[in-house]
Parts: sequence; C-alpha cells; structure tokens
Amino acid sequence: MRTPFKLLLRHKVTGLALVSALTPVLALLLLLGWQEGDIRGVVQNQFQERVRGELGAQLRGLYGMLDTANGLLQSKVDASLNVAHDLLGRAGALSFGPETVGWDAVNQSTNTTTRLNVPQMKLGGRWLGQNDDFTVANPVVDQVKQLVGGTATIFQRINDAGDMLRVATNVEKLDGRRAIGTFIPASSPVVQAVLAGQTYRGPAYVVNAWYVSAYEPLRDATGKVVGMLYVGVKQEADATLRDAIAKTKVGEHGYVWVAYGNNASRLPPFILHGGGATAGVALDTAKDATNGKAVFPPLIQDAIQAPGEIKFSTHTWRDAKDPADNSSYYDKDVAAVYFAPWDWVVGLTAYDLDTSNVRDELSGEFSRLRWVVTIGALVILAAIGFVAAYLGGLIAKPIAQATGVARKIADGDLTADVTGHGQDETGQLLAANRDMVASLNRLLTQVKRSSIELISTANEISAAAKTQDSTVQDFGASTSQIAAAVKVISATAEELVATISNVSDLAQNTAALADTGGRQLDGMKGSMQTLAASTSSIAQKLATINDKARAITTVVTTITKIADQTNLLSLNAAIEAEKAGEYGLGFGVVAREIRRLADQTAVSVLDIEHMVREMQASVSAGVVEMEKFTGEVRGAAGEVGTLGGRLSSILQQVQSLLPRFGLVKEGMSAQSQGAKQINEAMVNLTDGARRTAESLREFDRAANNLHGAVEVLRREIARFKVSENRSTGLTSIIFPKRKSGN
Amino acid sequence: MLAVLFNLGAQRRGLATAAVERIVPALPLTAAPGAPSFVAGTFVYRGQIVPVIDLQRISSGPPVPPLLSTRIILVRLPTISNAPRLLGLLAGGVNDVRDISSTDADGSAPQIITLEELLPGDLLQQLCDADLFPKQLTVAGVQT
Repeated sequence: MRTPFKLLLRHKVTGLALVSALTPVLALLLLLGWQEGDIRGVVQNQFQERVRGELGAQLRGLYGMLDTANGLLQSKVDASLNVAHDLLGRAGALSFGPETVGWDAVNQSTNTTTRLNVPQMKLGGRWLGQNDDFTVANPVVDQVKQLVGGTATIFQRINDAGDMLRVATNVEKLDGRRAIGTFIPASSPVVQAVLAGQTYRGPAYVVNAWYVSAYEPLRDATGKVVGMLYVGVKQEADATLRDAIAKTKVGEHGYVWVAYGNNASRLPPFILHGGGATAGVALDTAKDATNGKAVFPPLIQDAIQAPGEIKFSTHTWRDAKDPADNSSYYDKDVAAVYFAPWDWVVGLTAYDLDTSNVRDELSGEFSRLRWVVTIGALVILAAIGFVAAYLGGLIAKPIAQATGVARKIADGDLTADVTGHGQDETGQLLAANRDMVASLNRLLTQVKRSSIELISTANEISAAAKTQDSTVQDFGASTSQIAAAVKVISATAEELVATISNVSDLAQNTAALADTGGRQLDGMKGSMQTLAASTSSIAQKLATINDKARAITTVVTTITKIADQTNLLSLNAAIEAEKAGEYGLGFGVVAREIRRLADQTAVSVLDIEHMVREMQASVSAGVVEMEKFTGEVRGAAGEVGTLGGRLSSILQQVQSLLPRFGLVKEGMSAQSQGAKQINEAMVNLTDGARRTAESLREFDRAANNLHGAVEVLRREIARFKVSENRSTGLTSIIFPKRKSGN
Repeated sequence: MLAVLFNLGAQRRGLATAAVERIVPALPLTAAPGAPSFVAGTFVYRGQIVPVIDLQRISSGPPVPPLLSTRIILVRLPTISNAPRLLGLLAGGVNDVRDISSTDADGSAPQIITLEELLPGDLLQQLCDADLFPKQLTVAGVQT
C-alpha cells in the first residue's frame, strides 16, 4: 500500500504535465493528415487537367495536319477529274453499238456472278474493249494515269435499275490484272448520287486500299445517265504523313493511334499504333484492368458523334507480362478525335507514369513534415516528463516518510527512529509521531514482562493436572476391562449350565428310547423267522398249481380238435341233406344243431384255455415274487439282530454318562455365582474412577482457559517491539485482570 | 338257398351248396410244379387228382392263413365233359352253412357269389394248359 500510494501521487503530477503537452501535438497531427488528403486531391485534378490540355493540343495539331493533307488530295482528285473529262471530250461522243458483248459480272457487295449480254460501249465510235491486260493500252484511263498519276475507271450502266459495271480501268487487281467485270449495285449511295446527276465525293475502298475519290455521271446525247467516271487518289499516297503521325510522342511512354470509325466492322481496327502493338489488333482486346470493360470502342463512338471535337477517357491498364506484379498497373489518359473525311479516329494515349514523379515528390514532402512534427512532439514530451517526475518526487517524499512511521506503529514496531525536520506541515506531523512512540514504549515493556511470568505459572498447573488425569484414566480403563472380562465369564458359565441341563435330559430320554427299541426288535426278529417259513411253503404250492394248469391245457387242445371235426361233419351233413331234397330236411336240422353244439364247445374251450393261461402267468409271477420276498425276509431278520445288539451297547454307555452331568452342572453354578460378585465390585470401582477423572478434567479445562487467556495477552503484546531502557513496573496491574476474566 | 360261407379277403361270402361236393379239412397238399401261382397243390379224392386253388391268390392277395377253419371246398365243374370234374377251393372261415334267404342277426346277409364269378374265364383254361386235369379217369396207380 505504501509504494503504490507514492507512485500514484507522482504519476498524477507527471500525467497532468504530459497530457497538457500531448494534446496540442495530437491536434496538429490530425489537422496535418486531414489537409494532406485535400491537397492531394487538388494536385491530382490539376495534373489531369494539364495532361488533358497537353493531349488536346497535340491532337488538334494532328487533326490540322490530316485536314491539310486531305485538302491537298482533294484538289489532286479534282485535277484528275478535270483531266479525265477533257480526255473523254476529246475522244468523242459516247454511243452503244449494235454489237453486244458478254460479261461475267460480279456484284461487289454480294460477290455473286451474273452472266450478261450488253451492247458494246463506244467512245467516238470506238469500242472500249474488254481489256484486263496492262500490256494492252486502254484509252482515257491509261492516259489519266500518265498525266496526273491517279486511278480512273469507266462504268457502264447495265440495266434500268442503274447497276454500274466496270468496263475500263487502270486499277490493278491483286493478281496484276485490270479490275474490270465487277459492278456496283444501284443501292450503293455512290450510284444513287450519280443517278441523281450529282458528283459523289468521298472515301472509296478500291482493291484493298482507301482512296480519296470522285464519281461523275456520264450521259449520252439525250442526257440520260448511261455510265459513270471515277477518279481517285490513294489516301495515304504520301507515306510521310503516316510517319509524321506515328512519330508523335506523349511524354516518355505515351503514343498515338489511328482507327477506322464507321468502317471498324469491315476493316482491321487499328490502322496505326505507336505504342508497339501492331496495326490490326482488334480494338476490344484492350480492357480496363479494374472493371474489365473495353477501352477503345466507347471512346471511338463518343468521338464519332462529334467530328472534330476532342474526347477523353481515363482507364487503368495492366501489363500482361507479369500478372503478379502490382507495379504493372498504370493509369492511362486517352484522347481521341474523329476525322470525318477519311473516317479516321486519331487518338493519343498518355501514361500516368510519366507524371507520377512530381506527385511522388509532393507526397514525400508531406511524409517528411509529418515525421518532423511527430519527432518534435516526442522530444518535448520526454523533457516535460522528466521535469514533472522530479517535482512530483519533491512533493511526495515527506508524506511518504510520515506514512511509513505510522505504518510501523500500526504494525507494533515502536523501535522506529522518527527523524524529521522542516517547518512545514509534514515536519510537525513527524514530531507528533515521535512523542507518541515514546509513550507507547514505556507502557508496553511492563505489560510484556508480567505476561511472561503468568504464562509459566499457568503452564505448570496445566501439566500437573494432565498427569493426574491420565493416571486416573488408566486406572478407570483397567477396572472397566476387568469388569467386562468377569461379565463375559459369568454369562458363559450360565449358558454352560443351561446347556448341560439340556444335554442331561436328552441323555435320559435316549436311554429310555433305546431300552424300548431293544425290546421291540427282539419281537420283530421272531416274526421274521415265522414269515420266512410261511413263504417257502407258499412257493412250493404255487409250483404244484402250475403243473396242474399245464395238464388242463393238453385236455383243452384235444377238445378243440374234436369240436373242429364235429363242425366239419355238420357242414357236410348239411350239404348232403340239401342234396337229398325234402327227405333230407330233418337231417339238415340235426346237422345244424350239431354244428351249433360244436361251436359252443369251441367257444367254451377257448374260454377255458384263456383262463388257464392267465392262471399260469399269475402263478409264475407269484413264484418269482415269493422267492424274492423270502430272500428279503431273511436279510431283514439278520439286520434286526445286529441293530438290537448295537442298541444295547448305546443304552449301557448313556446310563453310565448320566451321573457325570450332575457333577459338572453343580461346579458351573458355583463359578457363575462367584463371577457375578466380582462383577458388582468392579462396577463400583469403575464408577469411582470415572468420577475422579471427571473432576480432574474440569480442573485441566480451567488451567487451559487460564493458559489461553494469558497466551492471547502475550501475542498482543509481542506485536510491539519495545526498547528495554524505557521499562517501568506494571506487572501487578495486568495479572489480577486476567484472573478475574477467567 | 343253402350256401357255404367263407372269407374272401375281408368280406364274408356264400357259395350255393348245389355245386359243392364236399368240404374237407386243409390236408397237406402235393406240390404241383409248373402250375400257376394260385394253385396251392393237388390231392387225391376218391381216385381223382383234384387241383386246389387258393382263392385269395387268384386276386394276387396273400395266401390263406393255416387256421382250423381254413378248409377246402370241393366243387363240381359241370362244363367239362360228361363226367363231373372236381376242383378244390382253399378258403378261410369255412365253418357254417346257412340258408341265405334269412338275414343275419345284425340284419346283413352274406353276399352270394357264383362259381363263375369266383373263377375268371381263362382260369380253367390255364389249369388245362398246366396239364392238371387228366384226360381220363385213372383209378390205377393212384396214391392213397
């Protein structure tokens, strides 16, 4: 408790100082962070503005360059057209001869071939021919090329709809032949314009190249449009124009690109690409790395909506080389403008990378500022902390000292040397403490001495009482044990007397029973012998009966045979009587009677035979039973004799035993009586001992109480440490107090 | 009509006494080798050799048991030649001759069976084939 209090006071002082120093520093850092975000945003916007301004200026330059080139080409086309016109006029009037010529005409839109027969187209009465060979000269078109260097073609109208067939040209196909035999269908805007009598000007795609071209109607004498004349100059005739565009640089990494506008679906997307990608890469392969949307098509569409105006877009690009590398993400600014005459979209792509150095530098400045502020704040905090800790110590030290003294007194240590000086409140507190310690010391020294003497006296009393108590207890225990033993002996003796009485009675009964049994057995022996003799005579008689029965059986057999013969005789007698007819009737009755008698005889004989057999069986069984019975009777007679002998000997032994039981019983009764007397004496003795032990225990408890009270007093006093030289006699005061409290 | 009663299997039958010559005890018979199995043997009656047929063996039953009431009924065979021939029928329970027109005490009369019914048609022929009926009466050389 002492140490935390000291620290707490110090902490409070120090903490107060630190908090007041820390708050403004934190506020400063927060403001700095907040402002930094704003400033960064402003700088970012400013940079984008600048980059877009730059891109716009460059694009306007390129647009101007294209415009100039286009003007030049257009004037060249006009010149060519004039020359062609002049040549046609000189060659003579247009006419269509009676002769016809066959064409395999190919529709240039659908690429289908149609077989045609059309009148020959003649100029000044001369057929223009069907010439696809450059070694053979063609009128007008070859002359145009010689004079002004452009391409020229003469078309013939082949039907009323207005399909225009190429019949003469100086344009070279890919196979090196003249490009004739194809026709432009009437639905084409070019033919539509020409049929309406106008001259069509615009870009034309002829044999894989774009031309700045003009189409003019050709009329016959009646003024009807019967064909058309085309002249054109290759758009990129001047290769230097492309070089000039391609060399345009935007910053360190930016580049220029050119794509077709409306014709994007039919043609290679990039005509030109300054960023290293080959011209012809599909426009929609470039996708934003964050949202996956195609970059160029929307921008191009935007530019086409407003020809000549510069459109911007920003997107994130990622180098495909190393997908794992985050540094390969770039922001790109793209600007584009639509050049309508050639259907070109010219664009510039600027890399954020090129301007990021400046931004990084700015960001670095902000970081440094933050660090400086943070470190400065830490240094100030450390300094304030030290000062606050020192001042806190000065304030807390005397209070801690006074607290320490009070704590020691509370713990009972009065030896503490209370040193302290100073005129302030803490100094006075220490002086008061010093006086109090001196007074307490004097009082406690006396009390301590008296209590020690008292304790030794109480201990002696207690020890004496304990010794006496244990002696009495031993005595009590011994008498109790003796009494218990005597009780057991007495009980056992009594039980024994009762048991012996029972045994004696039983022995007398046994002797009487044995006597009676012996007499009865003698009688039984005589009966047995008589029975055996009777049995033998019965067996002999039975044998005689058996013999007689056998004799009867023989007689019965004889009677049976006679009955049989009689029966047979009566049968035959009946048959003979029947044969005798009326005379035999009486005889037949006699025969029947004889037969009945024979039958009755036979039945009686059967009965007799049956009875005799049963009798014989009974007699045989009786003989066997008799023999068995005779044997058993003889055995029983023998056993009865043996039993009689044994009973006699038992009788004698039991009779000799009886007087002894009487003697034992008398001795036991005397023993039981003596044991009872001993037991009573012992009970009296034990009771006396118990009472003595109880009064001793009372005495011991009193002594213990005294000892306990003195011990408590001593402990209390022991808490105080006392200097010996300050003692005064106080024993007589403390001892009587303890005595009265007991 | 007076009939000799006998057991045929489990049934009680009666044979009219008109065809019966005599009833004789079941004597020991002389074996007849080569005869059909139903022939129990032969014996001599007043100089004639009489074949004896076991009635129960005719219908392939067990032989008639050798009891006192088992007897031989001698019947005359009127169909063969002018002199009456005799045939022994060995049967059990031959112990009564009764007038069949009256019923028994228990109300049932034993059924009358004729000789023709007892002896199937080809039976006598079989006996002839077995050469048990001599063609003529031979008195001389007959054993007693």
